[in-house]
Amino acid sequence: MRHSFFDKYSELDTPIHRMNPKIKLAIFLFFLVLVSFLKIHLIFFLIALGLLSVLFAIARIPFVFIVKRIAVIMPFLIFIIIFIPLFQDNTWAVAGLTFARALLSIMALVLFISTTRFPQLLKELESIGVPKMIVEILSFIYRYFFVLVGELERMELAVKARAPGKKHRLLYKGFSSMLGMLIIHSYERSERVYQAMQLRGYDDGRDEE
Amino acid sequence: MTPVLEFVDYRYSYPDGTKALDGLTCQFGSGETVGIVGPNGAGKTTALLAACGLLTGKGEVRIQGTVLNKKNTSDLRKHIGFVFQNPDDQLFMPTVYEDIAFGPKNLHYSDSRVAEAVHSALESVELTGYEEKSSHHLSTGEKKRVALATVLAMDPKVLILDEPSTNLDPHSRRQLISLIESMRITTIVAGHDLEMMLELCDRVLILDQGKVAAEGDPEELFSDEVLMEQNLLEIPYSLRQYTN
Repeated sequence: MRHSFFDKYSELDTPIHRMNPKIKLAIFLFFLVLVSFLKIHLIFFLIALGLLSVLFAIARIPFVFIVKRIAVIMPFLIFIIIFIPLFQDNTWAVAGLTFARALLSIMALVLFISTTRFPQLLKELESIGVPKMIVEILSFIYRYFFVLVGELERMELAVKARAPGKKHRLLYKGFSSMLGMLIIHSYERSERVYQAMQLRGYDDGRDEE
Repeated sequence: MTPVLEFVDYRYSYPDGTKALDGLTCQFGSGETVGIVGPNGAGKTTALLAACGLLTGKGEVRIQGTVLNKKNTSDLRKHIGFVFQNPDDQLFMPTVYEDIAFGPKNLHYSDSRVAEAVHSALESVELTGYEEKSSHHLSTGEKKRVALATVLAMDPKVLILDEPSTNLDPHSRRQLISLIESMRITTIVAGHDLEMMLELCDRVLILDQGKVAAEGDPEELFSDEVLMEQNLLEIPYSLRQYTN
């Protein structure tokens, strides 16, 4: 099975995809700093929003995809926003400002990630001095995320195949054991992957006793 | 001539006490292609893992005459190219290029030599141009060939293939067989695809309960009805017409 979620549109060929990833990363980080420190007026917010929309259009990223990506992070954001009025004096203004800042940052993040190929992104992270181990972990997450999703889908199919006509809610009863199974499978896989790495000369120092 | 790989009375039990290898003794000579067959649980995969020093049991494993021990394992290991049954275990890097380069980089090749090794490994599995692809975008057949390329790039003395033809469609299987056939190095193929063994192997070993139950010419062994049944195997279809 082939999967593509967050890297669905990263293989397109548009000016934004072709842009040097180092420059793109620099602009992205600069934009984040700008958004985080400036006092955002409504006009500034609208201009930034317009600019991002234009960039999304140039990169040919579909609107639905963008909304879906943003929706993933939204619950966390909303959770924080609703608590701000409880602890601050000038309540809703601060909440609104935080929301605007976060929304712009998330959109910029979505734009950056969906127009940069993940392996390229990892290389850039390494080149700006992110520790090798973090980059390695991210690279494994990227590689095995797709394997895990495939495994989960197969398990879900197996459950559905043996529970015809059952309501979805009943299926979730089996979800915890499915998750447990997934963890055990992953653990076993990690052992095999580590063996595969060792066989190709990987040495993290554990061999030397 | 010293065998490239040799087991001498090798024994291994899993932590739960299951005896996986029980006095395995066999040799693999330079340039030959040897098949290892046997029922599930006969110890095929265990033997292959032991050959790379991934398991430590009793007895000896010799690689080019040198006994494998804790100190020299990481040195001797690089002579053995192990292709796992499941390519998803073997391909762990984000792109095909980085995956194939992983081994050569660990051998401390220069950057240009790494690039050269990756290029020629991809060429030998006929996947030139796949460098920047992600493994999760490949078909199973392509994954298997990339997995083969990852070990070929390290220029091993022995190639070990654990069930190479499982999950492949007939076309991909054929491609893989011709690929293995074209290799000049010592190759050990384990699995249940007896037809493939007939085509590829100069010699086969039948493993049963952790030791060699029979050894010899594939056609001769595979047409021996009693032997095959004793070892929970079956005479391959292509040989059946002649024996009846």
